[in-house]
Amino acid sequence: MESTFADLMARLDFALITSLHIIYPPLTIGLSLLIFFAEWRWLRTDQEKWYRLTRFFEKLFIINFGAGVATGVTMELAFGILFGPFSTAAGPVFGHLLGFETITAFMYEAGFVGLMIFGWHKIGRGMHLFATFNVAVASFLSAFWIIAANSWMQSPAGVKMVGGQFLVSDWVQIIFNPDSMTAIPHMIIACLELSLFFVAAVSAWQLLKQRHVSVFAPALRAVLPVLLIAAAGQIWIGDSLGRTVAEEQPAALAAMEGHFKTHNADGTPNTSWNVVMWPNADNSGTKWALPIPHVLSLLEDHKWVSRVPGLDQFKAENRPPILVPFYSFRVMVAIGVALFGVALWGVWLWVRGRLANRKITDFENRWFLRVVVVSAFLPYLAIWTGWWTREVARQPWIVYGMMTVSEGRSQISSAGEIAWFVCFSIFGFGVLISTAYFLFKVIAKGPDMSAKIPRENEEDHQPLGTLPPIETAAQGQ
Amino acid sequence: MKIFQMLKTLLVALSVLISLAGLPALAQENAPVGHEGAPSVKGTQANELPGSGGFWSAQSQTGSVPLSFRQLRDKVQADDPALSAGQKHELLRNALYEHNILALAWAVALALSVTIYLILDGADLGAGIISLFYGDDQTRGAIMASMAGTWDANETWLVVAGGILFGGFPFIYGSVFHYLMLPLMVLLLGIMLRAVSLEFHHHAARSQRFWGLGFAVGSLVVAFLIGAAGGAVLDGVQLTPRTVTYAGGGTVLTFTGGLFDFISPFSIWTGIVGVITSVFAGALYLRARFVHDSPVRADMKDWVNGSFIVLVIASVITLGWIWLRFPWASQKWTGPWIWGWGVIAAWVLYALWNIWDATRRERDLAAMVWYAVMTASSLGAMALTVYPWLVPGTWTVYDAADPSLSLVGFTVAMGGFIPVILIYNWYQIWVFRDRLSALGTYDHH
Repeated sequence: MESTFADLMARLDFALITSLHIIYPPLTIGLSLLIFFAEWRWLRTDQEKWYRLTRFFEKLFIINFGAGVATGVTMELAFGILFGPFSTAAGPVFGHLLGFETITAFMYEAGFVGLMIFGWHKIGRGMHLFATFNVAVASFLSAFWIIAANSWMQSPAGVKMVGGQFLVSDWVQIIFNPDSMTAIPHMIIACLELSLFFVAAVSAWQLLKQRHVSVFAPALRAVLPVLLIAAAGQIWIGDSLGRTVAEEQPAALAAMEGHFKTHNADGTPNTSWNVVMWPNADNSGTKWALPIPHVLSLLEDHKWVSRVPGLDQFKAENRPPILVPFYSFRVMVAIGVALFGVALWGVWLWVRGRLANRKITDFENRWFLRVVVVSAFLPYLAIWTGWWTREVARQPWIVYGMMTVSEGRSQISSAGEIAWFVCFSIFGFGVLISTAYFLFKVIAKGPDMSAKIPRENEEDHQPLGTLPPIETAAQGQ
Repeated sequence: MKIFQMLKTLLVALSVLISLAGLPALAQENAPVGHEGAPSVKGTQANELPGSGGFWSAQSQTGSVPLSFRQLRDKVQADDPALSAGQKHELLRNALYEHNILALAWAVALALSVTIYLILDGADLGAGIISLFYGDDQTRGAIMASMAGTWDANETWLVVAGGILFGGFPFIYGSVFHYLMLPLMVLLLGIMLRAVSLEFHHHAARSQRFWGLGFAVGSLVVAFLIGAAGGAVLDGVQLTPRTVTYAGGGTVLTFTGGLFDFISPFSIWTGIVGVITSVFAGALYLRARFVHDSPVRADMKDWVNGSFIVLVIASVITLGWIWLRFPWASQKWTGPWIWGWGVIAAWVLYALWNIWDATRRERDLAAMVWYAVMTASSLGAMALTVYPWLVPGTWTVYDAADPSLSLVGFTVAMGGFIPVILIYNWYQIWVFRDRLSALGTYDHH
């Protein structure tokens, strides 16, 4: 029992820091691309609105970026601290993947983000666009490596197991493992969708307040069609990922769908899909459920009748927990569909010309704008629930089918585990609350419409700050 | 004055020459018995093969077969009846040769990124600690503004070092980090606090003082704990073998001790030395960052002088303590290469003298460069002292390395990306090279 509690604490410790980290990177990843787009439009068209949008969203970007870096450094070291035996065993594969991420993405991004934020008026406009471009590329690379590493834990491939270690035998197989081929696009589209909704919601909020309509109405109109494509694509890729999971991790899929019995009582395949259900006390079946026949085989195999392995095919100790994957999966899917609906509504309004600047100043479509503002929170929830589904459904494995969480965790005393949980809860939520506060503050303040617009060949080397009353500076000594 | 200049040039030339001639020889010094670079074959410290001398003896092998470590080990482990035990041994030995060169190369890369991190972020941390002594938020804000564009890139060298350690030396990553759980945990909290404080300080209106203080305290905590963790690693780690069944099964070494095992008078002391060194670096950095007539820059002259003296005293104490505490250090220092260590010591002293001199002549950038030289030399000398260990008494460079290291990974990472990183890091520092006036409202970004 003691070890079960310690396993749970180790998982909770890591779940806490990952959950409090994954809030920030998706916005960094998606928004960097959108800022690049706005800045590129500005350079091409020389229209002021694009410059204002670039600078405004850049301010939001950097607040979010700082929080992402602050919580992200923890992640890397936490593997060694909390999951030492896993780090030793999987280091040759997993550690190198994280190392590649650090070198090709993290460092790369850090090298240009300073230029992007503080380089205005110091470097040329073209050079600045180049810096923004590199930040966007680096953050996409970062997503690529991290998801590749996580996917390898879901569907380990390309390794040889020698002496308690996973040794590299084929990098191509490791990086392009079956899971990563759908998980990487799924996450990248998620980042884009989240950021598009973020931009849409910030714009919609400003429009509801009738502020800077000439800046934000074009922004809203620009993101809506992309949003529709992203939301539709996400549903399609999500379905592909579900089928990959069905193939690679049948136990995980069974848990996500609450699918206990492979066969019905009469021997035919059980094809019922549970809309909602509650497992019975010993996790061997449902206490109650709302099943729809044939939907499960349609979803997993795209066939009317097919055999989908249920949880009864797996030994009791190899079955994942059911409640968390089942319900968080449903929340994620529901959000995905709802966001598609919002995007569809928006595009419909846009096609009918009802989002034109004049219509907005006439206070039209206020309900749509309100819905968009609220929708911005949904992608965050979807990413959380998606990751909870993915990670909990992999249990009890840390490397699927090869190494369990219990084997992979460091033998830290419960006091240590609890201290970690408490400290990182305080700091993690502190960072989250302050980040949210400053984001809202900058959004409420709106773009700075009077700042000087950089012109070509005008970069100056003024000191970073303005001159102060000097006397006050020395008083502290 | 002329004589001084000549002496200087002569000293530099001599030290460079002797270092070049001496370094390979120093590195060849025999490893402690039982750890002559016998690398991990089975994922743990393998029993030494009879007659295998590891890297340096394998070097004398001529006509080695250019097969990869992986292919060779497969051959050896395949129980191929066509191969005699002697042939297998030969094959493995050749494999170890390639593996050990790669392990050493990764260790050098690790040492390099740790050194770059300590030089770059050490200055930022020190500036943060100094800002504790400026009660007014304006000056502290100016200090924070001075690193606004570069702190993030500086800090990522720590993450690079972590990545190299994770992938290249997974045995250390999985065991020593557990040993260091408590200091690393607080270190991470400190880094978190410092990072968000830097970002939020200039967005805040009422809470500016809070974030300024968070930045300063975070810097102090990080500087202390990096020093303390370094000392704790020098102390060595007690590991217990554990039989595992996953991934082919075998014996792995894990840490089973308690949370507070890292605490010793020595590790506390190295923590203090970490703070002193950071303050010195920070004072040098701030002198170079503020405009010439600013009061902060004037104050920093006293800070540089004060921390210089404290640092020299602390270094002497630390060296003496290491000498008394760690036989592997004193034996190496008094061994046949004693003159080589003398040269290194002279070189470090020379660098120190130059820092002092450059500060006196108001040449702030030169002082910083000499500080970097001094730090790199001392850390390099320490690495040579510890070699072939990475964690003294526990892991050698070769034991701790990933057994499946490949040339491809190393070439891609180190040959391709590190130089590129260095180039754009330099460009970034160049763009933000201007001195600050006293007030740090970096609103203009």
